[in-house]
Amino acid sequence: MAAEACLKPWQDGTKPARWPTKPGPYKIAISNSYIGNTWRTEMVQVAKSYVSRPEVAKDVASLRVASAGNDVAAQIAQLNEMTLAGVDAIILNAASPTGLNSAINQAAAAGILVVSFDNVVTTPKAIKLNQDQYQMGKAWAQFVLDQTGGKGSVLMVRGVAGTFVDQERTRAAMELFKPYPDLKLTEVYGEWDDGTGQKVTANALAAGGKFDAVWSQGGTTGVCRAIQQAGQKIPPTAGEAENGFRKLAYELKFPMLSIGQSPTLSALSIMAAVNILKGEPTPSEISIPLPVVTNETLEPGKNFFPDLPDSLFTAINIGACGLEFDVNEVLAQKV
Amino acid sequence: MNATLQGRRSSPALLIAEHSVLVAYILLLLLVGVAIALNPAFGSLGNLKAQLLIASFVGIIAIGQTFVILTGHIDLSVPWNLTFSAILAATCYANGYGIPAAFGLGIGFGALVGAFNAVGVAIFRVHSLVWTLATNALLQGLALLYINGQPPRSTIPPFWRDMVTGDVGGLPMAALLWLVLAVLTIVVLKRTSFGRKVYATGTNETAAFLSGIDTRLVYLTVFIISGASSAVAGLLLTGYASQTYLGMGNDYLLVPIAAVIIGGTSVLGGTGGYVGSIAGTLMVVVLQAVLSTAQIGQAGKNIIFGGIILLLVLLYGRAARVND
Repeated sequence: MAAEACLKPWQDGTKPARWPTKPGPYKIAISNSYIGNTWRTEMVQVAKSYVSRPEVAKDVASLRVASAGNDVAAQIAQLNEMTLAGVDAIILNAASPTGLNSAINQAAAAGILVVSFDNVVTTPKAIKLNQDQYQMGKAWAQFVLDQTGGKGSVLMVRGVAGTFVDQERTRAAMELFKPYPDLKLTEVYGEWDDGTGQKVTANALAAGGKFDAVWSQGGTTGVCRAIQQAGQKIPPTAGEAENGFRKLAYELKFPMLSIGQSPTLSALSIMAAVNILKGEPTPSEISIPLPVVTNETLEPGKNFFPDLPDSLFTAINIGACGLEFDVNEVLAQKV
Repeated sequence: MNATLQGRRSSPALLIAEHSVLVAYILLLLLVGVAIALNPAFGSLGNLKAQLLIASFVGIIAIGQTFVILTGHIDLSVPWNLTFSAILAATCYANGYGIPAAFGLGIGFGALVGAFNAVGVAIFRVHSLVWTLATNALLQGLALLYINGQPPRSTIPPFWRDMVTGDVGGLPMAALLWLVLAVLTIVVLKRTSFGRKVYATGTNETAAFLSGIDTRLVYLTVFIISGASSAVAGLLLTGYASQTYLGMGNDYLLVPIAAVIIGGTSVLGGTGGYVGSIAGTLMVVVLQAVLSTAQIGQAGKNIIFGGIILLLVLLYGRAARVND
């Protein structure tokens, strides 16, 4: 498998993971926090679909999934329970970047490998796997600059205030926008949610706005719908990988750039865990290539799905990782 | 009126108590005035209509909350009741049910959840704060089970989408529906014996029961109204967003409750009414709209939003005490 192109070191000088090797097959557990949105359910489904593949199944004896909600205490209890159950690896989407550290350290001391992804944790005892949020924010911002030539008004739909992801994506965009005083930026918080994104965009438009470009971290379908409902043409839009957004861009042909946080991060974390347990060289902090889609590469049935719901997250295939999923097979998995 | 109150007539708190609804509308006008002063485009017809549309979602949920809060209870099951009812209706429509059947099932489900809440409150005597919170968690699990982890495969009737986002006689359709339901609510609360029973139950449940009011029936009815109004709001939201999705109800728990309270209804039950809730709804929505586009950073927005809600509640909380 193309592990070198896929499980890349986070930066120059990232140390390789050091972990005692073990003979397989391995017992793996996913400790998830919140489960009440589509991204999280897909993340679980991709993991299940991945381990059902014959070439993966021979290394994975069992996969169990538990969701604790956005409750640090409940997730600590869950991690302790998994530690006592004696699994070989825990794949972790954390409710808090720091709150679980002691439970993770205990798991590591008991010989359990912890791979944290998406909402990663700070303890060095855990392997970290994520997409580079800074690069994502930067790519969206570069698209906005290319489309506007550095002047005009830009709607920036941010995520959830106070989160690391929102800060990194926004920091990258602001650094890029800084040399362009003719860019008029309007910031709203869409909380990565279509309904909220639609509402705040409607507010921004109604208060006299007309935008030359949109930089949206999420809820992009709602953002586009609000612009449509205001009777305006959708301007060039850089956004997440929501199916609805890509459907609209394909149909209406407005310039777009779509990069998504991939639900496949769960499967890649399992891949990394198995590699490390087998003793294959793997970085301790892993950067997953960004799945980028533009107007030119937009293709129905491949990177968006006209017959599937708007709220689907399309970015399940990471080309650089040689992982292709059939979306219907993924969605058929139980959560 | 007794002599003590006569003697304190000039106190501003008492004035507020006597005219709490009037005060709510004056504050609303002030708020809109400030919004327009900050950004003249806020007063444009297009914007006022957009705000009215968003307010109708909150306002319709606030109908249910007003009934429930008047009896001294609260309904915390709104977010996932709204989400589940909307997903149910849209999935039924996608599976070939007609609009009346699909929407009827959605609203019926919402009402059923309300009845379930009433069973806990009226029969098992569990406080609604706990029971409805549990219902909400239960519904989240059921929703996941129902869609089996897939994003809800719902279809929104195009006619419904156009209707919710479109105008009827110059007003957004959702706002018209809200207006009709609002008038109905006000009439029921102020002019029917059921309305008087709601106030009596909220003022003193034991006294109401002893005077021959079937308080269980009152609870059953108010929670059913709340469940059904959550479902109606859910259906409107599916038209607005052209989709259903997990978490679509997340914004609709505390905002309608805040609208009811700053509209002058006592959180302890027994006093207040929907005329105030309308003002409360519009205030909260205008405040959110102004803050969402104000370029002051999220921390500032939260502090201002929370601060203003606190100020309003303090104003009424104090007034209510004087009124007693």
